[in-house]
Amino acid sequence: MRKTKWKCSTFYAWWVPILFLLPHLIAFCCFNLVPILTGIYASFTKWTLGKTPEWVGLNNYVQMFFNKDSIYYWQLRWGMESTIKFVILCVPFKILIPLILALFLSSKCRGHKTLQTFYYLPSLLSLSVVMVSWRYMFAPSGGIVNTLLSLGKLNWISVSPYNWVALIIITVWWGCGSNLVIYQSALEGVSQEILEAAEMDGANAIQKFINVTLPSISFPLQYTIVTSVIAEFGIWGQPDMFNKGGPTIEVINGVNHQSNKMIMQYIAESGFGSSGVNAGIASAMALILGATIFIVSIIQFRIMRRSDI
Amino acid sequence: MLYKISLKKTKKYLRKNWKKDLLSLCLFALAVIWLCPLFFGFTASFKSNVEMKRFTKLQNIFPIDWTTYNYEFALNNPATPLGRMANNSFIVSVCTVLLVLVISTTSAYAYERLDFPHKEKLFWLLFGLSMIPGVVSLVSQYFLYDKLGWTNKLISLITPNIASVFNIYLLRNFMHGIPKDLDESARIDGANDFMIYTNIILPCIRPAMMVVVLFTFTSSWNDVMWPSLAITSPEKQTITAGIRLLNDSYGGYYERVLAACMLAMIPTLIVYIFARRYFMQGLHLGSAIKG
Repeated sequence: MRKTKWKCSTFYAWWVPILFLLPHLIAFCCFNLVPILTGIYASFTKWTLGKTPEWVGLNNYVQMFFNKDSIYYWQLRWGMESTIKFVILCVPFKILIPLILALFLSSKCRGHKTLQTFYYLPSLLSLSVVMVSWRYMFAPSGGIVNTLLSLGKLNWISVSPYNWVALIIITVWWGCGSNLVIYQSALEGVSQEILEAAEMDGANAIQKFINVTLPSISFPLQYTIVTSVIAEFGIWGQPDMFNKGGPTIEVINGVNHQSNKMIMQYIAESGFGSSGVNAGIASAMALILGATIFIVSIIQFRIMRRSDI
Repeated sequence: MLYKISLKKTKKYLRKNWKKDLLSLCLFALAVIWLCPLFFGFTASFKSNVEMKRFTKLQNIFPIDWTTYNYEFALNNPATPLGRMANNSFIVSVCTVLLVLVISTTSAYAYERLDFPHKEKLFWLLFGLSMIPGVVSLVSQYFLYDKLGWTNKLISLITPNIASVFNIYLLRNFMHGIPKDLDESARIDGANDFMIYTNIILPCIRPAMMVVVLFTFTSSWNDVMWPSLAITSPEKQTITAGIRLLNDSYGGYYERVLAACMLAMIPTLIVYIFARRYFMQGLHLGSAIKG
């Protein structure tokens, strides 16, 4: 009797959790883990569509880092350069603008819920919708921006640095909403008592913000900085749909160096483009980007831990 | 008399709150600028091509004659089957949402309510693995699906998004707030885990499920990159990736692409309106990862 009960409970203890976990574990392994492992393996191979991968060792990486005759050497360099430039220019606005808006909205002024919906709205839109609308806004002749600000026929699309300004405005507009709602929900948790106590002691608005509000929202702030950096490293659609990479700066080995062509565009081109598809090179490039994102995130966490914002 | 009192009250109110109201006014003015692109896109989608090209001055923001021709063209043009694409998008997004709900609620139940060896280790291992940037698997995923014969099929758009660990994290946090007494009393009455899951947990976690639905639906509907890489025939394309094709092929007919955009943004807005009540609550859960 006792033995059966014990058996029964073991059976129960093992099978029920497994049944509940199985759908997710199977899906995760098949559709997330296997592609990641294949991607890592593929970066050491030469692999064209419909053929079996051919092991080439570190050749892809050597080619990309050291071989100046290879087009991929230049693609990696140019792609990384413009992506990092974009991240540095874009992320501060993506943090500051939503933070300021959230601070204003947290004063619970009239209509703050409607305002939140308005400012959040762009984040609900698809990249293609965003880009089509903004292409129309920034069209050099007859575009709304040039008409409203009477800038004549300023070419936002294919003249540096205007193309960068346009891309940053678009990306910030599109990505502000998600950071805004995170800050709003964090600001609701800031202790009103401490704020009042600070006011009693004669702190002004800026002092209150730096000494009370900022420390209490430090975790969401760190979180949004890291996620924004990660998101902007993966930028692909904005330049792709805005100007296909922008004006050509120079030509090396028959490849155009375009002003705002990002690393993701080069990866997509060498993995999916019409000419010379090679999953090996594309995966190696993707792995370098992935590693860069990972290292940058860790450095950010370290710095923020130490300075304890 | 009544009038006098209310006037006094209004004056008092204004003296107290004029700063806040001024702020609100400024924020509304800024919101008008903020929503400019959508507003101008909306009005332009009702203009004819001649009007778009000829009347570009500021006083011609609104169309001279409103025409729905662009919408009709976008929907009926056989080269760009927008209706078909919207249908594909619906199939993909709805299937993704349903699968995500089943997979992540069962799994969240196991991590929160059941006990098994190495539970926390397994969960955080999966969480860490899901942090690997998606770009690493982008190309190999396509090559694998090509081997399986899944390219150009809608299933290739559904599967990559169903196993998100973040959804489990969100649901698990929410489940943590539901008192365990409920399951205990049900267990005493003879309910097993499956009954507890379907009859007690699922009804209780509906707000968190709504947030998962909102996030999953919008990200699935709005995805442009993966569909435009994995799907090559326009017949099988989703609407948002289809707009990218239109953007390349429509040339000078901007108003038609804009009309397509206005149609493509409706479903996510509807889902947002339904899920809005639960939205901030869900974010509280999401950002509860106290460092």
